[in-house]
Amino acid sequence: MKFLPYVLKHLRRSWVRTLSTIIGMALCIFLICTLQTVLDAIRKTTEAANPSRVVTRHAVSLTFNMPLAYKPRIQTLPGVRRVAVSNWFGGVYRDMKDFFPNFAVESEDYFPMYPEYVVAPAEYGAYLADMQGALVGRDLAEKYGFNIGDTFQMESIIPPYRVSGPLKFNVRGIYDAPPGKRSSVNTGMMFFHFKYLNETIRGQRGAGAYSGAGTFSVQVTDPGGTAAVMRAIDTNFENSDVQTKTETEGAFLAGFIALTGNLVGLLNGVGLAVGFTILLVTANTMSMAVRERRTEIAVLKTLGFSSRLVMALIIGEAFTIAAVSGLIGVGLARGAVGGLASLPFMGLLLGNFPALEVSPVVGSLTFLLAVGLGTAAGLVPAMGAYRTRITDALRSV
Amino acid sequence: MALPLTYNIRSLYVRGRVTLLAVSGIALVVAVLVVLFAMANGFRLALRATGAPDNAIVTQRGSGSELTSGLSREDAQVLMADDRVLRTSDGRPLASPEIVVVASLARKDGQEVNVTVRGTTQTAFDVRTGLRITEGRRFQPGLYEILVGRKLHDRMKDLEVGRTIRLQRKDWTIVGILDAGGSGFESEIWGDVDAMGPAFNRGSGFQSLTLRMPGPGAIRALNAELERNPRMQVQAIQERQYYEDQSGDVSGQLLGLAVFVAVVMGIGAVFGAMNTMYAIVAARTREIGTLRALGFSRASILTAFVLESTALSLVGGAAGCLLALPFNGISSAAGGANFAEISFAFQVTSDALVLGMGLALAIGVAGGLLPALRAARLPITAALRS
Repeated sequence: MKFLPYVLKHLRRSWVRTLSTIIGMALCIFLICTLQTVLDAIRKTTEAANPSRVVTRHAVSLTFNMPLAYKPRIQTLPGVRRVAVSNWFGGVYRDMKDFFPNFAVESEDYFPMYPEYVVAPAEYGAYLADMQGALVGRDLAEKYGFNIGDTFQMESIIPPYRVSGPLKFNVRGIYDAPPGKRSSVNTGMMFFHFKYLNETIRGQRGAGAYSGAGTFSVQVTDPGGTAAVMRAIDTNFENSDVQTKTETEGAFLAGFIALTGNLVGLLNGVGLAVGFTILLVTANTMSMAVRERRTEIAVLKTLGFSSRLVMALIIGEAFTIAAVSGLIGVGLARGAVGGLASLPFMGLLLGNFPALEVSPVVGSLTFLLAVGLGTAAGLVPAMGAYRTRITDALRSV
Repeated sequence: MALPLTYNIRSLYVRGRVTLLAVSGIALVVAVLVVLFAMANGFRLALRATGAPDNAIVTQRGSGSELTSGLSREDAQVLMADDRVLRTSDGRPLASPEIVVVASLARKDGQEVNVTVRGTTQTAFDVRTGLRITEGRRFQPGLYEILVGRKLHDRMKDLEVGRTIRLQRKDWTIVGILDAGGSGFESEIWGDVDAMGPAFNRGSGFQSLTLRMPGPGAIRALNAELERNPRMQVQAIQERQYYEDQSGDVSGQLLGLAVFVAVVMGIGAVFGAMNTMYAIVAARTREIGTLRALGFSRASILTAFVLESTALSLVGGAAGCLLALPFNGISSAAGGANFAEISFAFQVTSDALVLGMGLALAIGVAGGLLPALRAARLPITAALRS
């Protein structure tokens, strides 16, 4: 610790270099931190899935609906607690660029299965009582200024759902995440009553195949028996006209992320390259610092400083640069990550993850990475200083 | 009087290690940009190649993709009979009514992904150009036979010719591999529309109709007529335009990522280059003093150091481009239209390389300017004394 002033003094001596190294490195750390936050958001989407819930869909494709008569048949299977129809409505609010996920659900069965959507009892009651009622998430309400009692309309992108024109909705409740779970519960969605959708389109020309169930959300009584229930559901419909495919909620959600292709690999690859760049930039700075000070290092050694201590001083310098850059980079990411979605194009990528924020885990891991890389970058020049022979260094003035 | 360029190049060479580190940093930044750009480009080109400029694709008005479209058999027949639609030598219209469903199949790594299954007709092979059967034969009308796209075949498990896959309680035999010159059709499964329609409960209607038209003008005219026709809720779009639109979101995302990463890393690299140049200037203080004493002006010293920094970054840029080149042709997949995956090849185009070199140039000039200014401002006497 008593050498700290020495280290700081050196860093101040060529402050332009120190500053530009710190800025360059902080930007890289900021980038890594941001990319990791996106990856973290992707991971959380699947991890937030509840092990006691499974999703049943058409065996061939999500785009086919299953007969509504399947509901009582699933309900009677042993181990099944609740079943609710949940259909992706694909409604567009105002304009396609304002798109947010919206689902027609059998509310009475659906919401008891999803305790993570917290609604005030009075609002929930009002929602159940209104055929055209809608529940919107906190994020969504803030983004578009929805208030209780507001009315709005949406038209689906799925033609059979458009046969009667746009549907009208009344905002009856705003759901929120439970305290402390804000980053893992998506409050950027909207729900409304499946019966409203079904009764609107039923019997209309062109709606035929679509007046069914897109997916059934199924809650099992015992999470340990999930696998057995999944098998039982699919076996039950094996010889019917429409076969089903049942997955855990996590697997179902993961399927949508796999859809975005190799995004995860891509982000990791970019992160790796950025990390390597940090290593290069810092190594460059440190080797310049050591080269400049060859004579000085020799003098230190002549004065009786051990080679090990001289090496530690140089590593200490690298460490200080890395720690400061890490703090700035992570701080920058924390401040900016929420606003990134509003940059052009980035919204398409990040719009799926509302309430994006740097988690303590990602933040501290990136900081450690910065410190680790910076220190490693100081290692080679420090080794050089360790090996420097006094006579050689003093001779080459 | 300007300093000769070889002076700068030699100086870089003398300080090999510092130069190498700086060059590598810039190379990485450029490589990341070029690779991301190649990916966005590859995806867009694969989809663009899917559509032909002279084909019109007719879908339900307002539907964003074939999957959400519906077209009655009567409407399709009226449109096929239109005399602007080109004909084959034996007088049949070059028109292909199709249905599209999405099936989930297992990739080689076991992950299940969505795949577009297209019910089509024999005429489709004439309406769309550049299709070849590389193995096996075409599907026969009315039979449960399918063709598998070449890229799909490479990526998925168990899609060899002769095998069967089970879709909707029917076994479909794979009778051939479809080559479509790398376009989106290579990520699809094709079968006969009359076999698939009933098997997938699609009733008698279609989802899209592709027509060979005399040219883009005729397609616009047709669409204008259709818009005025209250009896048909359909729209006609140039097929190329249609597929380009489908690529918009994904390639936009990739481009956004590329720009974001390039800007942030680029600024970081400017500071890295600045660092290196300051060190170079500091190490050559006496040399600079000598040059000034010899009569070289401040301006020529400034130019020399900016040029040196530019040379450094251009070498880095070139190395970055070389680093990115092996990515050319690597195949990847991304979500496309119809919720299905589309495979595409990275395309390291000349545009991407020019962009990468441009970034390197910008880094070099921006990073070299301040150190060069410092070099130019050095007082001769002080510089010589150091």
